[in-house]
Amino acid sequence: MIDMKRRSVLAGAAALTTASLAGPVRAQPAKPARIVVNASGGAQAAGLRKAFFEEFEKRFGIRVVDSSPPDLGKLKAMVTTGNVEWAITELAIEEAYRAEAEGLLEPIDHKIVDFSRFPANLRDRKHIFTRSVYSTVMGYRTDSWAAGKGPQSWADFWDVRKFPGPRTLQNKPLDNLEFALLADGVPLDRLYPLDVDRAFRKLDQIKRHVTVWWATGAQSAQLLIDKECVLGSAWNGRYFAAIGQGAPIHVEWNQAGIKESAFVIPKGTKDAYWAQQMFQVMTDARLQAVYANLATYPGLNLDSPQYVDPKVASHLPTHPDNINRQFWQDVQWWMANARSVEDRWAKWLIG
Amino acid sequence: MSRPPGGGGNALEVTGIGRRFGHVVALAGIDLAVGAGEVLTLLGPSGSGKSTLLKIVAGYDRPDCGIVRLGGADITDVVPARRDIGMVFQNYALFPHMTVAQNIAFPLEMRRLAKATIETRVAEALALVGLVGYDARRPSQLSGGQQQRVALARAIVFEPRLLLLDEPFGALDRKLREQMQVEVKAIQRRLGVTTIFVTHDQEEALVLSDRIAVMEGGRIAQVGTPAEIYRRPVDRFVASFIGESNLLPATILSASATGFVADAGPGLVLHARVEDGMPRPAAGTHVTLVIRPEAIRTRGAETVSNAATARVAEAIYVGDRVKYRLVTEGGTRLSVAWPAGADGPLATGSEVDLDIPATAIHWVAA
Amino acid sequence: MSAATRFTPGWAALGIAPLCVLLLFFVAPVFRFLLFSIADGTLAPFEKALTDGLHMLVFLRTLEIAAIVTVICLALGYPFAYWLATTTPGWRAVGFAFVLLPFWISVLVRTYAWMILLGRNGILNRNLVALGIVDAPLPLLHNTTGVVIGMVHVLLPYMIFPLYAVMRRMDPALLGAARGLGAPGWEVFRRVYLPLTLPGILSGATLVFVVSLGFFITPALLGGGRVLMIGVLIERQVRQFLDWGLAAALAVIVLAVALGIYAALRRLLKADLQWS
Repeated sequence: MIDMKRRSVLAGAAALTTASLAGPVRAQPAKPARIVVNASGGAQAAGLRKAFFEEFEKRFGIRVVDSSPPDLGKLKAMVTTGNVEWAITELAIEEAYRAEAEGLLEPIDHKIVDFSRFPANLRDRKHIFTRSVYSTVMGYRTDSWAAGKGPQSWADFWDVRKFPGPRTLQNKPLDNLEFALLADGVPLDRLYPLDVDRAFRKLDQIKRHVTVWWATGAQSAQLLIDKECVLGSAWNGRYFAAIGQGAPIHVEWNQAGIKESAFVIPKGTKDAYWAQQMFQVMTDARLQAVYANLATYPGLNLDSPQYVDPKVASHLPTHPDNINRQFWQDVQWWMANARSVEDRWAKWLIG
Repeated sequence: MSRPPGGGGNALEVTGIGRRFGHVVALAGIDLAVGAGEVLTLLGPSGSGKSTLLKIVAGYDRPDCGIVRLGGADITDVVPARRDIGMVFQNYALFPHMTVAQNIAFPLEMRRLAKATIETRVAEALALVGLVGYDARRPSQLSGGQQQRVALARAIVFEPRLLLLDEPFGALDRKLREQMQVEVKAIQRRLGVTTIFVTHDQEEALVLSDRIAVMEGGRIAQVGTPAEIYRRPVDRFVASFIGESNLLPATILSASATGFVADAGPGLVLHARVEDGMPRPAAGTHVTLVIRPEAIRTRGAETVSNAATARVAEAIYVGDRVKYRLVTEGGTRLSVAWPAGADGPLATGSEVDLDIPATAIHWVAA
Repeated sequence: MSAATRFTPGWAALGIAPLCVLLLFFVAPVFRFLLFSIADGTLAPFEKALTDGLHMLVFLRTLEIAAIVTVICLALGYPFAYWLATTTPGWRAVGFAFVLLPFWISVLVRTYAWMILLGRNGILNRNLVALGIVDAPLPLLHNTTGVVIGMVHVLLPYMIFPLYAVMRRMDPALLGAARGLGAPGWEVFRRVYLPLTLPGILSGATLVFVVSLGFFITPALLGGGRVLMIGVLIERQVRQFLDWGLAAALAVIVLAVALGIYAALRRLLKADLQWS
């Protein structure tokens, strides 16, 4: 006991010496005991902790507390009342743009966060950090159709005679409008601007075959696991996790919708400096690979893929075999049209 | 509204009624008959079984054995709704969501009488209990006494074959209680309805009853008119439960055709007279003598049956009378009750000469 | 002396303190939020809510579902509350444990449990098909039936407790009196028991109905997306679109309807149940 104590005291003294010798480049704000990072929770939280939080805690000696779920309304309430609890929060990409437009976000400090090894179009982002990407993919039960023998396009998904069985799609117009247009023959690169009328007409055809419009990510995979549905859409990591647990599911990457997962710093957080430091940790190529291996949601550091486990690589949205068969969500279009389309979606669904 | 005379037979007969709750014997073989038009009181302390017996008569409880007959018919297994028995509950059990008129109309509606008939009979019942004009009130808007009148009206409006009153006066204050006792008795007499009345209050029982059944430990200790019960209790329990008594342990010295002589303690040998036809104790047996306090007199010029001298240990002034606790020369304690004299109660410690009339001495088993 | 006994600041403070807390931390924020509906000085959010053809449609559907849930809760809760009120203390403890069980389980776990039970390949359907009672699985989930089942499960205690309270307070002598006065069993129920439990029925129904209006997780998960309730739309405006004006306008409308129903039932209680 005594020995242990002395050693830790010595270690502390050593650390102190090193720190003072190195000297801070700029004044570092006082360290809080903890910062809060708000994200989707569940399995994702474990991945974030293993990949980034543990490294951050080791590097700065500040405890990272995670909370969930992402909530734009709560973010606005926090910022407008000046009572910001989160250092960082995740948001759906179009919500992040909305938050940016409403002035709810702290700018990213490019002196701390290094985007030099990111794709060119992401290097100048002012407020939104694309921590990873994810795809909405098609999946089916392999006891309905052998892997690779099932539906291979959204046109197949719509073909209820060739591929009978209950289906599930997300209870949102996002992705589904695109899927409908693809099923109707619109080419992958000519989707936007979306022809909403045409998309809903096409959706009319599939509506009664979609027995469940899923509301949560967990639900999307569970529906296939429980055989409640045999064919559906889900975020790729959800199917990956289910397959990892032995679920007989095959993922079809063709015509999947890829999009960014955004992390932002709420305006007025007292931990802004440490949030920037966390972002810098999250840009690390090796750490992004650790996260990708766990969750199949890759970061966009161009050096990251070389560190990814080869067994996982083909399950990533960014894998060369997958990326070119997908469409990128047009955030600007969705920003402009989401409200009217969502209202129409709701009316269509209950009509 | 009154029923034709019942012809003088027994309206209600219970035979061999027994009831247990677990190991507790609530009723141990009750036999009782109530004559048509009679008011019979079940009197006893709580736990004596009187409420259980009433429930069995009303049909709310089922006896383990025995038969209940009403008007000659066996009703032991008949549900309460078909017994045609009117009951006034301890707390009246008026329906709080109904008006006075609706409460009284309830049993008539259950008998599917015509609307006009119901109205007439409700009005008659209200008149009978002195509540004309109260039709539209709710029970919560009535005083305790008024509530009781409604309960009574509801219990008699359908001309039941039997009226049961379960401690109906318990919730009333003393003055109202006495007034209601008189009124209920008057209404009962007018209707001539056979009535069983349950109470633990012996005074109430004496006022209202044609006969009293004194109950103790699940059995009937004595049945008789109030006077019989008061004057000739069959045992120590009845003697002590009804009115106040001096209970003196005594040994019978001798007995004759008309009476007996008993040794009731040092210096207290009492000569007693036994009425014709009443049992006499055998010489040498141990008995308890029952002497009512008001029967003991101060000794004057008249004939002396049993003379004694005692000292006043305590005097309690109770309005029209004074209750004295006396101690005889031999040390026997006696309670007496005498009218308060003009010169006030006797002083504590003063000496009085007593006369205990031979006719006032009653004996029961020891 | 008498002044001191009449005015007891200690006791008054005891009541005022919680009231202040309630006002400060609950009523004030709710009121503040509702003010967003008129924040821009116009009634535009109300106009949109009432005329856009979606929100009122969903609200009517919400009222309908709330009514169905209330009726079923009453039908199930009434006999159960009666059993609770009349059974032995041992069985009552067991009964209460079952009633309270849903409160101890998170809404998600509860909802997934229903999925396992009622799904196309759920326990119930598998057995029904295996026993040959039905040919194809019954559609018990991902539709209005599923939502109603899930909501009834959660809301049943809100019905049972007020009913239990009035039933426990019921004077058994009243029922005995009714029987003794010639009423057969069902007349005792219709003329005495039912009217005397009416306050419990009304408060239970009000609770269940009003709480039903605010449901959004259960319908989202058990309705398969087809059952849309007003809470889902309000939540969407708050969290997704940051249109707090419209959200507040919708909330005001829901609150007004809920208060209106409450007031109507209060009047009914006052008019018809003066005795209680």
